[in-house]
Amino acid sequence: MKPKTIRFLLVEDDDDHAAIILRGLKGSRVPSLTNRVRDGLEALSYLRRKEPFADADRPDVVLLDLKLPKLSGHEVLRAVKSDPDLRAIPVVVLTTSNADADRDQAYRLHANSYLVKPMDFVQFRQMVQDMNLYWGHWNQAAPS
Amino acid sequence: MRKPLPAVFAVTAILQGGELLASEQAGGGSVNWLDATSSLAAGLAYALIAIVLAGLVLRRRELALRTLAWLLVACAVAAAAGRLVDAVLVWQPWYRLDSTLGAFEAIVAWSALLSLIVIAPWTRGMLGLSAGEQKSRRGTIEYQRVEEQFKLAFEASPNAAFLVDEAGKITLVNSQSQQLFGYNQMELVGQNIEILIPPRLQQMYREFRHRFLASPVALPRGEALDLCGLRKDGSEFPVEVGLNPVRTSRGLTVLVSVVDLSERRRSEDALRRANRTLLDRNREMEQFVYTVSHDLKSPLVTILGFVGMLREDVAEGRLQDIEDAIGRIAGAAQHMSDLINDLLELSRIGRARHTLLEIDMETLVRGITAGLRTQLNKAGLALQIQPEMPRVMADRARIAQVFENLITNAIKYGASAVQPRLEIGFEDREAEVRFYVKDNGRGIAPEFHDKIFGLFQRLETDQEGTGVGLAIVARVMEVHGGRVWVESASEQGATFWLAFPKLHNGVHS
Repeated sequence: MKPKTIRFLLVEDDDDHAAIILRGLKGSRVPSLTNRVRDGLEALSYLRRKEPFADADRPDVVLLDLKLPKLSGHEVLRAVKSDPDLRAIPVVVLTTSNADADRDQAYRLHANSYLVKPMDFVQFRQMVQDMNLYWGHWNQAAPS
Repeated sequence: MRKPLPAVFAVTAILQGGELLASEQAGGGSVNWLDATSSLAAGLAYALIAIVLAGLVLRRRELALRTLAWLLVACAVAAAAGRLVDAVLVWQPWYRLDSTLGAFEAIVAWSALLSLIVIAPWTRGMLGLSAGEQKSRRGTIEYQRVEEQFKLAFEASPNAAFLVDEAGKITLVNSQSQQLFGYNQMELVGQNIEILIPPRLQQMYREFRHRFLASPVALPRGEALDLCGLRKDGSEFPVEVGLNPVRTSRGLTVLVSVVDLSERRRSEDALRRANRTLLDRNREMEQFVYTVSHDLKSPLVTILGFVGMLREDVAEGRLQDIEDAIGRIAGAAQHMSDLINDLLELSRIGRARHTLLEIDMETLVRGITAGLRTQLNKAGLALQIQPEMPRVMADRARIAQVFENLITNAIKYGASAVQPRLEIGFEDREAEVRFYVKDNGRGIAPEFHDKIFGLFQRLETDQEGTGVGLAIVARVMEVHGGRVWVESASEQGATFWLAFPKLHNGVHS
């Protein structure tokens, strides 16, 4: 059976990191389609289908960086998880920070998962592909 | 006539013999040499005794029984005179003189005897008594010396000291107390000590005093009362009061010592402030280390990520993206380098000693804008600098950095208007001199006005900036005793203000 294409919303301000993530997802067993926004405000606009994202598809998973301009990743997390329409969407934090405070805060705000960007491409790719497989293939989403 | 006893016969015979001799003398004939010499000798002796005794009495002032002593001197004199006249009688018939002297001698002797009897019980241990009186005299001297020492100690005390009677009236003050409270001695003695306590605290003092008087024990330091003292001029100051009971024959006297705590309080406050500063700096440091290590991770992820991708691409012969990858790696590495330099700069601002000079701000600002001429032109910024800028006492290099940062920011974020403008001016106020860098760009929302001066806080996706620029500005202003803040709203431009405090003598600092 052909696996369904998983839709990611990548919230990442760093172009280089975004490039690495996208490259990492290439050639994965589970096909994916990634839309990218560059800051927290854009992320919420996209999720709420506000202009200019009125036609946006609802993502299956949100990949969320924490250090974002305008609105921090934690704030986006809070907004998503307190919105009854959006809270069912799994949010996977994807960040450079492994600080206790950041992890603590993320889980308090009901992050579904917390991933730390590795400092090695091979590892990075492995992580991203495993993540893709887990959420795209094994995880059963909430009923729509 | 009765027949006299045989003993009487013998005595009479001797005496008679004497009489015979006397009558013989009167008529001339042999001189009674024994009589003459013995009288002379005795007389001389008595005279000398009188002199020595007199000398003793005069010299030894503490000698008891002076009256008796003088009477004995008189006896000796009388006896001396009598015996000397006796000697003369051998040759001359000075009988009348002799009798007179005899009478005198009798009177003096009886006076001495009476004097002796009057004080007889006392004289029993005469030698011992004299020592007792001497001990008592010595005791008095000792007491005087101790009192003298007390007075000196009381006077020399570094604390204000008062002797206060049971009713609370001041009986003695030392010079420190006069100095401390601003009164002189006469204004204090006789007053109730409560005049030195502010009215609102007098009740507390009274209660304290009652407790103390109920069981007067010297209070150990820790239980001294924390009060305020009230000076003559009405000013107050923190004091610590200690009470010590002094039992005298006149009842209970209280030694009140007052320690001025102003200096101590000042030191305590200074210490507390220093402590807080230390804690703040510590926390700042931790935050700094944390932030730095995190912000350095990001470029490293980029570098190592693209290195990995490069390796694969090269191995598989995909060479079209190599240039791009290398560019990103170099960029990230440069970014790390900039970050580290900026952080070092930031830490240096706090540590280094600054040379303060009087800076001509106009020259400085014009110099910087001249240096940024290319960027200004590229951004199309119309520049306006207010003339006749005041001079400021500051570290030239640092202030140059501040303006450079602000102007660069304005070029980056403030040039979005249709006709971008950059204004640099000043406001001369009473307590400080203010400078501003104003643009008409997209502005900064109020909720970010504090954040932007924090470390690594960036509003826009700013790949070039390190996020340290405004933190450096804030730090430099802090070190100069000034401050920086921003006035701005979304889409309404931004005005960054710098305030330098002024010195009293009119020189800006």
